[in-house]
Amino acid sequence: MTEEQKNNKEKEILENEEELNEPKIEHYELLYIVSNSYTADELKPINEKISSLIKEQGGKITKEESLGKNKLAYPIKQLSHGYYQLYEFDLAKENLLNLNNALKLNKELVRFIIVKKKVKTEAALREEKALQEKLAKKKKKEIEKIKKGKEEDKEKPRKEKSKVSLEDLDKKLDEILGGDEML
Amino acid sequence: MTNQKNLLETKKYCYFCVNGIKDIDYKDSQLLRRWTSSYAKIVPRRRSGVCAKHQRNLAQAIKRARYMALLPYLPR
Repeated sequence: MTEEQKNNKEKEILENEEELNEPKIEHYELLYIVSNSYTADELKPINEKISSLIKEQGGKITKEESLGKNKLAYPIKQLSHGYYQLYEFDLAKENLLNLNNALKLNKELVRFIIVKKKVKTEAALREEKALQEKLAKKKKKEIEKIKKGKEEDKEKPRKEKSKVSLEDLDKKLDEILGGDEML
Repeated sequence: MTNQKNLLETKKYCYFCVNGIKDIDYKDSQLLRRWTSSYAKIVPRRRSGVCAKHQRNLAQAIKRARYMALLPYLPR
């Protein structure tokens, strides 16, 4: 028994080590600003260069999006505008530092940021959908409540007002007529 | 004074919990602007009513947005 247990333990340890040796692939998002001193035509080779850098490190690009030329919230190196470019990719955790260092050497990039991004599984997506539907229903109910309340509020004062105004009018008319007769 | 303050205060709620937002995107600067003061500071929880979990994510998102020049560090 003891020997078997030992063997089992050794096996488990080996399996764990194997798992550790496997490259841990994470989903990342890269956003960078290209200097405004380049024209829109010169952007393409720069973007290609950056995407090739990602591929060099064994990354798989899943999304590529240009966010256009935007005004910076504050000037960076006397620049007031910049081109924003977004990439999403899967990369082994170990190679992230290499990529970071490679990106730092690019003069064209004013600034860049790499952020870990959660991969949404199907179950999570379904949960989100259900939650959104729930919230939408709640909102509808609340809006209906408010509408009902408003309608009730509107109906009541209108009737009262009209009644009052009619009575007032009669009284006023009487007064005026009476006044006229007096004259 | 305290009573008056309570009367003026409206009911607070966490925007992200109510709208079912799990991950706060730092690229959506227009949305994040709602939780920065006129001095470009992050609005404290006691004023904005955001729950603790989302306040942490929100602060992170605002700081990232600042670094990428999507939000200002200082007002103009």
